[in-house]
Amino acid sequence: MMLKQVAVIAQLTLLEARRTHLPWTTAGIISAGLLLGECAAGLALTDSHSYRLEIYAASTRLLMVACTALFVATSVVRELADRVIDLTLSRPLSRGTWLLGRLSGYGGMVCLLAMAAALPLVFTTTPLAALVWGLSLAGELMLVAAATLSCAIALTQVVTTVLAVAAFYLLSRSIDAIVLMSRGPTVEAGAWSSIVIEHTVSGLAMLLPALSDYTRAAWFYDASAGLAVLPALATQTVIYGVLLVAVGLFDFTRREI
Amino acid sequence: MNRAPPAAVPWRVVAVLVLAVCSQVLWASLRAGPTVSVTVLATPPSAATLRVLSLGEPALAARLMMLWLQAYDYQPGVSLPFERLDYAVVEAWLARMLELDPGFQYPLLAAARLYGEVDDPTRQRRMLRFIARSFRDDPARRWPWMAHGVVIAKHRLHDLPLALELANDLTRADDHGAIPSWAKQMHIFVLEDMGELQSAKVLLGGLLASGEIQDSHERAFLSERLADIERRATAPVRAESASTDKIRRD
Repeated sequence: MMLKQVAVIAQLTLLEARRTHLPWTTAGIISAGLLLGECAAGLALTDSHSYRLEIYAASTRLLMVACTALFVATSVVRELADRVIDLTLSRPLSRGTWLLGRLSGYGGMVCLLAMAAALPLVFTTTPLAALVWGLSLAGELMLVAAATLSCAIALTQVVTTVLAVAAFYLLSRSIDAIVLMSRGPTVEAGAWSSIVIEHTVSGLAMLLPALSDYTRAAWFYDASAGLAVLPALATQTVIYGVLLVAVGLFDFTRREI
Repeated sequence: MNRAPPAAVPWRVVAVLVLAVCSQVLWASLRAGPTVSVTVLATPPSAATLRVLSLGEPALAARLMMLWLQAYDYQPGVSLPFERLDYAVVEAWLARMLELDPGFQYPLLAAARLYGEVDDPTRQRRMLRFIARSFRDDPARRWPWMAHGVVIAKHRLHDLPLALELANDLTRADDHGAIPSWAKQMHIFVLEDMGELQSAKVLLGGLLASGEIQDSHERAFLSERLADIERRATAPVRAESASTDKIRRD
C-alpha cells in the first residue's frame, strides 16, 4: 500500500515537472552549455577538444544544480502555500510517505536530467566516461534535491531555501580546500584560535558530503578512475540522502497542518 | 507557523536521524583526507582571447589576473617559494597584463618588489630585463620601476655593468620631461659606486619628494622603508662616534 502511494506521488511529481516545461528548460541548458563549449574551443589556440568538453561539463553541471534547486524549492513551497498538502494529507497518507514519494519523484527527475546532460558527451568522449559522469551527476543532483526538499519544508520561502541550498552546495564543494587551508603553512600551529578553527572546520567536514569528489572532468580522459570511485559515491549519496530525509521528516512531523 | 515540541517527533524518525548522522561521521572518517596537490602555473591565454573573455573590461581583467597570480604561490595547504615558480611563465602573465592595460603599474611593481626579490640571480636578471623592455614602451609612466631595477642590479646582484645599462636607458629615454633629474642622474651614482644604504636613501627620498607616488598606502610603505634605511645608515656612525668618545675619555 505504502509503496503504491509513494509511486503515485512520484508520478505526480514527474507530471508536474513535465507540465512546468522542465524538459524545455533542460534542452535550453544543454544547448547553452554546448554553445559555450564551442565558443571556448573556437577561442583556444590549442587543445580545443578539452576546452569544448570541460567548459560544457562544468557549465551544464552548475546550471543543472541551479535548475534542480529552483524547481524543487518552487514546487514544494507552492504546494505548502496553496494548501494542497492539507488536501493530500487528509487522505490516508502519512507524512513520511508523502516525503518519500516527493523525493522519489525528484530522484527520477534528476536521473533524467543527468542522462540528458551526459548524452552529448557520448559523441565527444567514450560512452563509458559519459556514463560515469552522468551517474555521478545524478548522485550529486539527488543530494541537491534532497537538501532543497528539507530546506523548503523548514523555511517555506523560495529565496531563503535557494540561498541555504547554494551555501550548502558551495561549502560542500570547497570543504576539502578549507580543511587544507586551516592547517596550511601560514597558520600559527600553537595558537588557540588556530586550534579552534582547525577543529571546527574538521568537524564541519565530517558532517558535509564531499561533493568535490563528484562529477570530475578528469574522468573524460580516464574513465576507469571514475568507475573506481563510483561505489564510494553511491554509498555517500545513500547515507547523506537518508540523513537529509531524516532532517526533513524531523521538522515536517512537528508542523501543525 | 506553529510547530509541535521536538518531543512530539516519533522515535523512529529520531532513530533514523541519529543513525544517519553516525553513518555520515563514520563514512567521512573512513574517507581518505584531502591531500595537497600543487598545480603548475599554466601559460596565459593570448591577449586577444583575454580581451574577448573580459567582456569589454580589459583593465578589470588585468587587475583580477594580477590578484590571481599574486595568490598563486599560496595554494590550499602549501606555500610555494618563488624559486619553484617558472619565471618564464610568470613573465608571460605580467606581460599579458600590461598588454591588457598599459597604464597598470602593478605588474611592474610585482616584477621589481615581489618576483625580483628572490634570492636567485638568474631569476632576478629575468625580471630586470622584463622591466627594461616594458620601460622602453612607456618611459614616462614606468620609470620608477626602472630606477628600482638599477638599485637591484647594483646592490643585490652586484652587477655594475647591468646597473649602468639600465641607468643609461633611464638617462636616454624620450620621456618629455616626465622622469625627474635625480633618476636621470642615477648612472652617476652607479659610476661613483656609492654604499648600498646611501644610494637606497637617495632613490627612495627622491621618489617620495617627486610627488610621483600618489597612493597613500604606497607612500606610507616607502616612508617606512626610508626611515628604516636611515636608521640602519646612521647606526654604525653612532656606534663609531660612541667608541671614539670612549677612547677620548680613557
